[in-house]
Amino acid sequence: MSKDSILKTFIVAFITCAVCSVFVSSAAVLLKPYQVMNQELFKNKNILMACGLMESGENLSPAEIQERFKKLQVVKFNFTTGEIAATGEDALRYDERTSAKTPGEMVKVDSSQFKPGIATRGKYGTAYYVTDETGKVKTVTIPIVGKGLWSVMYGFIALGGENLNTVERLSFYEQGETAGLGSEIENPEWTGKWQGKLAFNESGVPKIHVVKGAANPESSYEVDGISGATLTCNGVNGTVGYWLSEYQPLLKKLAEGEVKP
Amino acid sequence: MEHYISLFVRTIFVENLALSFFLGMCTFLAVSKRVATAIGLGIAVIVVQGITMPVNNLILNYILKENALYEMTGIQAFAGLDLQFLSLICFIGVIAAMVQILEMALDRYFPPLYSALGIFLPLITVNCAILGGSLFMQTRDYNFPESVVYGLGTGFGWALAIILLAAVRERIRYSHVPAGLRGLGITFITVGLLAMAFMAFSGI
Amino acid sequence: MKKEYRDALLNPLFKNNPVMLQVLGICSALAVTTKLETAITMALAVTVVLTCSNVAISVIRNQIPGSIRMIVQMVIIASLVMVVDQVLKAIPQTFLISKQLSVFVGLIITNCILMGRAEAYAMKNPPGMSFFDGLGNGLGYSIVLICVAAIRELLGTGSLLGFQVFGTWFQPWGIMVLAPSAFFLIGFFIWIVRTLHPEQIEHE
Repeated sequence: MSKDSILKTFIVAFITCAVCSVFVSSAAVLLKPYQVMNQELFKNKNILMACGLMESGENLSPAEIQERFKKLQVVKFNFTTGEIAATGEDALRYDERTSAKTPGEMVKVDSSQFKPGIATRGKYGTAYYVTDETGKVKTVTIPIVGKGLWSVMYGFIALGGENLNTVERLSFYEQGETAGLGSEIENPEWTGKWQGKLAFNESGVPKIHVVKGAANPESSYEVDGISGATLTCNGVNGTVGYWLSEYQPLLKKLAEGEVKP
Repeated sequence: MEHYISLFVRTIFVENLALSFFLGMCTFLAVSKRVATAIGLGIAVIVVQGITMPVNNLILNYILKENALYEMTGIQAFAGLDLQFLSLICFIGVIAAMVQILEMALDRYFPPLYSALGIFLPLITVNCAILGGSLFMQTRDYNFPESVVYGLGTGFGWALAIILLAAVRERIRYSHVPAGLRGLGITFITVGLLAMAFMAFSGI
Repeated sequence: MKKEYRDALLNPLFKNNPVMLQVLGICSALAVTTKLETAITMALAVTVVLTCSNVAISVIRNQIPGSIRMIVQMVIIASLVMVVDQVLKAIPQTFLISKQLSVFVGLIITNCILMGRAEAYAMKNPPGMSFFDGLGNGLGYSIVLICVAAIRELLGTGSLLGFQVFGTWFQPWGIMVLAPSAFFLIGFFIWIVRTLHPEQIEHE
């Protein structure tokens, strides 16, 4: 059979496609569980770090990560009704990212007060908290998501102290801001500046914000800006403000000890 | 509307595919010796990008995304099917097919345009700016109208960059460049300077 | 090792480097080099895909009909790239890096080194030779990538692979992590290599 005959062309094309598709699909199917596991570990690790249960340089085995994760309490919170929808395993299974895009579950974001730059969010939100021996809530970590200059930034903010009004930690684990400028929001040196600032004013409205340039040292609500990244910082302000205001009822409940694990 | 305009301007200047993501570099460097050819290739990229991006967007959202096929057809067997790992091959297939169809259509209906753009079209299939644009569209989860704007914006940005570079290179031919830098070397440095100039937009 | 194997392996490193001389595969060479870690992963991925695709194409080279030559090469390369992408996401150590590489793993498909070597070498030579040619070109690409990334990470952040190299006195060069520096560095690399190998200088 000649190399360039039509029949041969079809045979070669068919065999190549068949072999390649088997090769690719089997790789995809075989590796899927590992990818899901990695994604899960990645998420849990970020939550642990955001809650202060793990240092950023620390190398933990998957088992250790799961072990530490057990120290956390999880709640699933309904933003509209202000009620706790689930706790523990059930709450953990909820994924904000998917539900923010699932028709029927997503809710339009009201950006009249704070502009997180995203169009929709999930109906529920999760929060992670640690209690002390007496059962009093020590720190609460809430996920935040919003648009910076280029892309969607994902992170956490941890609150503690009296009335859970003091920022303990801010961290972003996924963002695509300008390298060297906006991406400094991941830099611990900058996020460290949030520590100890107050989140809400007396009437429960989020007041903490990044300013342009240096913050007033007297103010407990202002954080130093990142030079060259004003738009990213504006995005951070909108994001932090929006999620703090959405979670405010839950924080109040937790601070008053109304939530039982 | 404002959202789309800002996306458009941003993709041209700040997120320029060639200058800040280095996409389509091979053709960018190889075909930028003369302004006339650069304009031809630039237009071809705009057209192809403007067509393939929305098409890829539709394929992604209605076939490849998790459960998309199930919602489309209602066939139970498709429930929970996530085909996103196939996006790469689908995109490249769409691009190759679109370029081929475009080439034939131009040849049949607009012969003058075909003789001007024809030779550039095959080059575009392997231009990573096209595939890269579609992949960025996937990771950033653009919806259909956004993908149209993004496609046109990236195309315009890329065309602008290559025309600017060609103009500079036409002039460089008359200057004394150190022997080792001649040709490719000085082109890289020129592109670096261009990229720096475009970076000035990122502070806006 | 036979001399011709050695030549196939070593020539692409400096004498005929795919990135610096043939201007192939530049896009990714520039985009993933802000950090050494990502550059090494990318270099490995490209070398593996290039070697495998060269061997695969060379094995069936006598069976491929001329009319569908390109598309067969494309399918083989695309499949390899998709598998590599899946593998990177499945290994815990490379999971994070593959997140940072984002679309650039997929863009290996349009990396011209792959199609270039398939068409220029693997279609004409036996599998053994193609293996070394693929490996050699992969390494040539890796050398450029790793050198550029090492310089950019060292000067841009003062660290290498995440370990602090310079003390606190060091003021990082902000430009090094931004796009233009990659162009400048490759420009200077070309200058150095061409000064050492004057036969590579271009004449216009």
